[in-house]
Amino acid sequence: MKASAFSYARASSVANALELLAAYGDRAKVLSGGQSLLPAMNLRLISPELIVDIGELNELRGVVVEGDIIRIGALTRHVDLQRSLQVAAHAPLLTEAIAQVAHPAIRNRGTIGGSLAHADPASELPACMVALNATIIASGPNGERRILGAEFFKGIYETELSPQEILIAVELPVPPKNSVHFFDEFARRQGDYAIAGLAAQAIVEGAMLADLRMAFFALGNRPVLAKAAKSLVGVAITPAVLSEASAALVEELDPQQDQQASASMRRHLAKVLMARGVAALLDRPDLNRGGSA
Amino acid sequence: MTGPVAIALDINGERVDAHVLPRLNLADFLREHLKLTGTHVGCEHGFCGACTVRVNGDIVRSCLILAVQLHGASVQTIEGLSDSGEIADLQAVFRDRNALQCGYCTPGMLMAAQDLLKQQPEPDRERIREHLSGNYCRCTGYQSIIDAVETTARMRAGHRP
Amino acid sequence: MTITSPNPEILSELDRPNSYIGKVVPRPNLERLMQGRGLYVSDMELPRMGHVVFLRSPYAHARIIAIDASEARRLPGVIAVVTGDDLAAVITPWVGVLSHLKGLKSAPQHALAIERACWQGEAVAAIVANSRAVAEDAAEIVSVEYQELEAVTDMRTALDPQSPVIHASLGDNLAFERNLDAGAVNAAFADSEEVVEADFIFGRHTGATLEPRAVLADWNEAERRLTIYQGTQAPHMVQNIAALHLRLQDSQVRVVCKDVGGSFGIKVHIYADEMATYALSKLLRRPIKFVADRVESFNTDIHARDHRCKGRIGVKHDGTIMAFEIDDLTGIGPYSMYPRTSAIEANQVANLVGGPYLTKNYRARARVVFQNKNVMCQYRAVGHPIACSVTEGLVDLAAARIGMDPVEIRRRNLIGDDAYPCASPSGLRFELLSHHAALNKLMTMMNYEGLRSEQAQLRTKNIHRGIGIASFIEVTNPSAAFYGVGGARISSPDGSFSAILTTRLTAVAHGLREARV
Repeated sequence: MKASAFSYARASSVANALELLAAYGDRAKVLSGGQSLLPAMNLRLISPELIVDIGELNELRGVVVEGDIIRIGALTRHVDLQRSLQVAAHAPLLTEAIAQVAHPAIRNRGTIGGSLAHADPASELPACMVALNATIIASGPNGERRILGAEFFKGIYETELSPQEILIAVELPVPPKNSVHFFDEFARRQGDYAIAGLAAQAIVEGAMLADLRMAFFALGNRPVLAKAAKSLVGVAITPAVLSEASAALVEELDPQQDQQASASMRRHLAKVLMARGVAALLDRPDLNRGGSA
Repeated sequence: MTGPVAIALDINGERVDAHVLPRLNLADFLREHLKLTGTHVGCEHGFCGACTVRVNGDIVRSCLILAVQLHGASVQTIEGLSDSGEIADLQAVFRDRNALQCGYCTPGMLMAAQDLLKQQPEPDRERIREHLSGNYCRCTGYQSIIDAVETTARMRAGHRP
Repeated sequence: MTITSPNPEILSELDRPNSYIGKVVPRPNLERLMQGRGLYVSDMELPRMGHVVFLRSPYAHARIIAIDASEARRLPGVIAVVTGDDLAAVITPWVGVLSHLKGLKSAPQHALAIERACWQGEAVAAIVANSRAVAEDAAEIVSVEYQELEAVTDMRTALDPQSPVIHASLGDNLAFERNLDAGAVNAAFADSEEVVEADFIFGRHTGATLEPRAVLADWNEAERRLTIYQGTQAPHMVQNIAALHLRLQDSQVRVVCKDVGGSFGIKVHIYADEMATYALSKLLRRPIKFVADRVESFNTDIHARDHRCKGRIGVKHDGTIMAFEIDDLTGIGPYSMYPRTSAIEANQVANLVGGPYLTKNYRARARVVFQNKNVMCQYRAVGHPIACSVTEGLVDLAAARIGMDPVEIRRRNLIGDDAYPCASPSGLRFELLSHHAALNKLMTMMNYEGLRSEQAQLRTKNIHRGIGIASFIEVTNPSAAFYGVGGARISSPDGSFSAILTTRLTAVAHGLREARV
């Protein structure tokens, strides 16, 4: 299980990396942390001609809070996010989710940009971007462009990025004070890709949800921002209301069947996650009585 | 260039200069070029943890890093950690608790365990399991490994085992 | 080094001075393994060593029309591309049968496929290069023309008249059948007040050793000696079989077993790609190394435990088990594995079902069929998981049918602790077992009643907790003869004999056993 031969270029700047991508197009691959790219190459699922290593572009690293925006550089490693006090303060959903991303040795190399550009539908960070209403910033031959998280992911390993572009950062709006979040997933082993998962961000006013973004993952070919969540906003949530929302949720999901779970098991787990999520967001354990998976 | 690339790095405290093909990963570089065969290869795609080593102080999967990415880096392997005595106590408890059978996962397991013990003085069993979750062992059933890490942590904190 | 005896006051007859028997002694290899200074076959290198990669059939069943390796041979670093016909000049085929399994049949199997590939993953060509990476590059440009043939995949239809026969010379796809009828089964079912039937379906799985299969074969043409470094559980068997099929004397073959990264029964067999590696060394007159990668491991290490077992149990309302009956079917791939065969597992299932229970009425049919899938054989706990699941599943279903607690039905039917020696309906001889004592101890340890009431409480909160009880007899201490029965050779059969223990740690407790011998 050895990768095919390829050429290697260590990019000296974003501009330099873009030049290389412009020349090679889809025969080149950008190497960030390499924790998804290298397994695929070792298995010879992909055999790029050129690897453009952006690992030394320090300007793409780090977390900055400016006003009501948190900007996270594409090369920020999972472990950096996990330890970032700014992320914990302003995007605690991400802090919680990152602990479920693979294992310590992977989190020491894997980067947020790499994870988002890879776009595995069972991975945690894309769903978090959708739940947090992130903007993804890409740099290309025609300059920068900003893409909404919910529009960035197109399918399994498919994104809005063209082969000539590099994801350079994400920007998250700092959530208002009365925000709450929820993250949970089912996996066979700690750190494995999820069988079904939910990242949710909400605003609570009194006993009601004033806003609710529920991004389900491993339940379709990309993170799914549940439309059914709308019916839970601005209303007094009763078990009947929740059950109606759950029923609507499974209608909009199109989960895959694989060796881990059938499509119907995944739908069931999505309902369980929704109930757990709403119960936790509102601190209403009574809404999660049927919550065993 | 698909041809060899020059790299210089520090391995277990020794400076190493080498010319490596871009496709050579760190695990194969250590094993085949430097004959540091204590770093084991179990799956070659990041699942099993047998190839865990330290790069610039952090544990990593050496099958998921290219040698060319490590120009200027500092790498420590099981041979280095053993020789420096850094994990002598952990190894002694592994022996006493019989926390290994075939030994193939053991170097990676020791790397991951020491990483946790450095970060957190007295982790509970749940935390130990979580930190070692990326390292497969097919022989022990893990119980004895968790015991050994827990015991080492207690000893380092000055408690009796 | 500390040697401790459980009770130093009492000496047993084994407690002779300096005796290690029964003592806990330190494992001498631990320091080496913990410091990364072990020596596994995957670590080894020899001068002029070539790495072999096997090109494997993408089809379950296909005729090999032509293999064109001209482009691959021109790739820098490639030493040779070898086909089944090339290799047949060096190594003879084998048939995986043993004399004690009456009626077991299989077809001759070659180190590399000749004319036909019979499962997805069977090696059809060997590419030898100066590195594994280059051999993989070359394998991608070997072009094989296949004509796909109809495949037998479902064990349930393998014996149907309309299914193709995988090996025409065998006449059908039945490798082995065993029938067993003990006691008075028909009468016992007729006297039963309830009869429960169920199908038990088990999926294929495998042992997944952390170090994949690895072998380094070194033929010295001048000395006419072959040295095989292999991660194996049976070095003497490897010596004998390699010599036999390479047409050498045993004395010309030396097998060295270094550290082994897990075996679990996966590395007690002789695999075709390993035979091909020995043969390649002889053919190319240089050391050849084969290390399976993880994907090859999953696809070509033996699979096990793929069974469909119909079970039947007859019971009285007072809980008395009247009879067991099973009809077990297993599909083993296109060849019976060499040399221990692929019939042992089903045979063991037939031996073990019903074992812990009093009833003498037991009927079993076990059928082993060929199919176009990876070879299946036995590893850790041969047949026991199937037999235990079927037996205990049936007992649980019977208990549920008559409304009896699953522990109570076992209490009423387990062989009494004072009944030994005795034998099972299948003829297994039991000595000094203690099912009742064990069950009583378990009930106390687990606080069975307490767990049952907690279970009922949790159920009201929609938490469904299961409590499972299984009785189980493990075949232990069968001696070395167990592994040598029926013609599977575990030691040098050419007249010489020496007691040399040369295996290394291969699995749980193996090292402990070694340290205590």
